[in-house]
Amino acid sequence: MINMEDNIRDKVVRAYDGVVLDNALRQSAKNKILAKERGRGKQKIIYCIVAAAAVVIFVLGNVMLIRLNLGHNKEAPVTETSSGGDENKSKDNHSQMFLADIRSREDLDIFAFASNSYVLELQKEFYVAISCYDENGAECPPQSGRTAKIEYAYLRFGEQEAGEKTYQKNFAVDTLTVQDTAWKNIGAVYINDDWYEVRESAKEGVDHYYNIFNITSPEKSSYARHPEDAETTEHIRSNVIFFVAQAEGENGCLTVGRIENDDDEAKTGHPEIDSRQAPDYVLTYAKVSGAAKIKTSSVKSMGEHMFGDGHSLEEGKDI
Amino acid sequence: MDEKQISDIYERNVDRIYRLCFSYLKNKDDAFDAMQNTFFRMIQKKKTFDSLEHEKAWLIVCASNICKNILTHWWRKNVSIEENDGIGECREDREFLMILLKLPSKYRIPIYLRYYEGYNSMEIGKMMGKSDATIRGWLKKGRELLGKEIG
Repeated sequence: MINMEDNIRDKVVRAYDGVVLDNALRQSAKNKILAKERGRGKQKIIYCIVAAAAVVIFVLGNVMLIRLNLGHNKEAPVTETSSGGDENKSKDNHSQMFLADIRSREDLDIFAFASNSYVLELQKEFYVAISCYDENGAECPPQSGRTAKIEYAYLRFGEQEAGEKTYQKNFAVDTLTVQDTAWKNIGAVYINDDWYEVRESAKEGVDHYYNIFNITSPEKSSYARHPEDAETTEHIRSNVIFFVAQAEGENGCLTVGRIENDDDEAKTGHPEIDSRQAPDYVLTYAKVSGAAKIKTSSVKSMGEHMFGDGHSLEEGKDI
Repeated sequence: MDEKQISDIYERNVDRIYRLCFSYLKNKDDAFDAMQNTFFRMIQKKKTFDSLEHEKAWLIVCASNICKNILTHWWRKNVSIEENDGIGECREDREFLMILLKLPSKYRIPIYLRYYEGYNSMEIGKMMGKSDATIRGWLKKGRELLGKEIG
């Protein structure tokens, strides 16, 4: 029996010894197997990269959402921007919250992206963020018959002594400083289907003039010499020059008029376009037609329209 | 496992696994594919081994499973063992291999594992998921069948 088993073992071993893998095949299989392992290595790296990217996107997305949610849940701060006697009107505080919450350039981007508001870069790192409201106080893009109020904040981001990012914001009637010129916002007016923000140069010892910034169509922005200066005023980038006059007294009437560019000779009798109490108002229940085009959520360079060099002043207009 | 380790495992086991696959599939090409797939599966499973014995046993079981899967395919049922040529240089050994391959797999595989790989019936039982007694019975029956064939 033992001999039988040994005999079988011997024959089995010899028989299977003949089953040999060809060397070429053996090497080829080995190469394939190792290549597969290398592929798996690369695959692992790709998976890691994709997973890392997914995690980053997920985290950033959540951060954005949290920020937005915080913005929507907070109480609206009291700002100096008012709408005359309509402060008590119900309104959507979302935009106000966003304005109040802006602490950095990134916040500003979120604000521009997430709301119906828009952001203009007036100068490098100097922005104005603007929101419009309808008659019900709900945030909306400026639209004909709907836009009742505009609120805005000036924002500057830059490094100060400690090298930290800081911000400066001014709501509505606050003053702001740009280079050597102190600009005081004295309100906004509605002229020929466009919203205009009126700013007053308040620096001592320099010419006293107004900037009329066309919110609806920034390219129409213009400058107007203060009429009291009675000096030459030249319009810079539009065919229409506006002038601004403010009556004496704390609540003096703000008047905006227009000078036709090709009508230099006529210095009197120009039409008065808008006149209202200043500066204690922004815009209340004014109507805008065809002004929806101002809606933009991108940051645009508007500095040249407001503060850029090269502009000259045209002769002012007596009121 | 790095490439060097895989390469070492491959060199240590490739012939063994190929023979086992051949024993199951009775065909060089299919045995080659099954052998490759066995190593692919090892990489895929990121398998690590405690010892050389563990490594050898795992590969044998894995190869067995792969071969059994192949054998369930309908087209496998018509493969003839006469198609194999160039197996072994000695005619007598080749003839014995053909006899072995004609045995039912339940006898053939334990005989291969017992007499070529040197496993005992208990170890074979563990690998094949059978009891020690079953394996011993199959070995006995296999030997009887082989004895009849070789006279």
